[in-house]
Amino acid sequence: MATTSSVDLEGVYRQHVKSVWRLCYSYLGSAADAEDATQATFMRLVDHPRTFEGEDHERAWLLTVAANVCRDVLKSARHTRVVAMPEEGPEPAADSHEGAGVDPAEVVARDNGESEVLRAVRELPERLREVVHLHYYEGMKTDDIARLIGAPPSTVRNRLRDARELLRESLGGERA
Amino acid sequence: MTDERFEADLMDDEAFDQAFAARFAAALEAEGPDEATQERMLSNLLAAAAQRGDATAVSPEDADEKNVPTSTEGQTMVEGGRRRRRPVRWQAVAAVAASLALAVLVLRVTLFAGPDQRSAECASTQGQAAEESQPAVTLGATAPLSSEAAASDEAAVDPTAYPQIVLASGEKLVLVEGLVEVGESDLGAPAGTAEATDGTQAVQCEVYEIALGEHAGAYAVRYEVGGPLYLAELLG
Repeated sequence: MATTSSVDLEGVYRQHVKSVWRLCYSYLGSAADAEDATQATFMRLVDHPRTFEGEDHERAWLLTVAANVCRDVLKSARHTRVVAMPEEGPEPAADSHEGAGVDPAEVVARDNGESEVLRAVRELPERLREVVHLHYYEGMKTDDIARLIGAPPSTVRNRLRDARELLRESLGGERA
Repeated sequence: MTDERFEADLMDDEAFDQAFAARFAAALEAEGPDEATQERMLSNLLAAAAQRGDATAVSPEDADEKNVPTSTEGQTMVEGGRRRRRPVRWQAVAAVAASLALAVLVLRVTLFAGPDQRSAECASTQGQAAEESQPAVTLGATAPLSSEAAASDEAAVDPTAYPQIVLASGEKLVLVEGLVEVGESDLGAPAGTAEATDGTQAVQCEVYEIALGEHAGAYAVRYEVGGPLYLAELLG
């Protein structure tokens, strides 16, 4: 059973940083925000040294904390403002090549040449985005996801089903 | 939907799933993080840990004896973050939030606690609690709710790390996303002490029914002595 020593901290970080960063990136859609959220996640480990029962537990804890950090970021004033502006302003922004009602984050992602798949995932509602990442990227079973996010397994399965339908629609006829 | 049914549905379009999973993984991995980013984050992390008195060297067993990182020390991470290419936001937010929480706690103790309770709290912090006549455990009382809270006044439990709450009755609650705070004036009957878990580890918490206000009918969970109450809902 490992404890979080100063030596272990680096080991834990190196072991899981990519998973944590990618979960954050799936949530937030920005490398800079993902970096902040990843650091915030590992800082929880610094703030609350703990014992893990194994690598799986370690990973589950970090992903849970990362998801919570990302939810908080998404609910922060900055992110709320970014999404809400097009709805508040009836007229299109003068310097925008997109009309009102378009998520600026989406425009930024497009301008950055972001992968169509990542954009499709990011356009999913938050509750679906989370399960898609955990299932398709982390390869987690629905029961494991349910334990991790604190939702019933049936809810996870329903969310995955809904996500698949939306992804099919948004990715068009190319079948992913 | 059962797991078998779900898996069967997946089989209906396995090609889509496999193709999507492969493309999703490839796209994510192409985004990063690159080596430089990883090293920068690690450097910031280790610097912050070192500036907090090498708090990471404190094992959970030793945590009862040592001061694990304090909220005000969190500001040091801002300094560490200056080496980064972007302005640091979350460290500053965390430091301000922790300072506010500490200020509220101090105000509670000094303004609202009765003289008897105040003296009991002082005695408790000096390890003399067992010799004193303690008031009953009530809202804001000093009895430890979790080993983490007992370890240090400054080692706050992170509620988001323990989002699932299991009542003694077996009923399960889940912490509402985004940490919605509940006022004590809205509380109804105590639902008792419960266990909050991340799925594998647990801490003790106090649960109350909410009787008034917009969240009436839901539950409020307190993770640490004198700490805030957070909104939770019945699972399922």
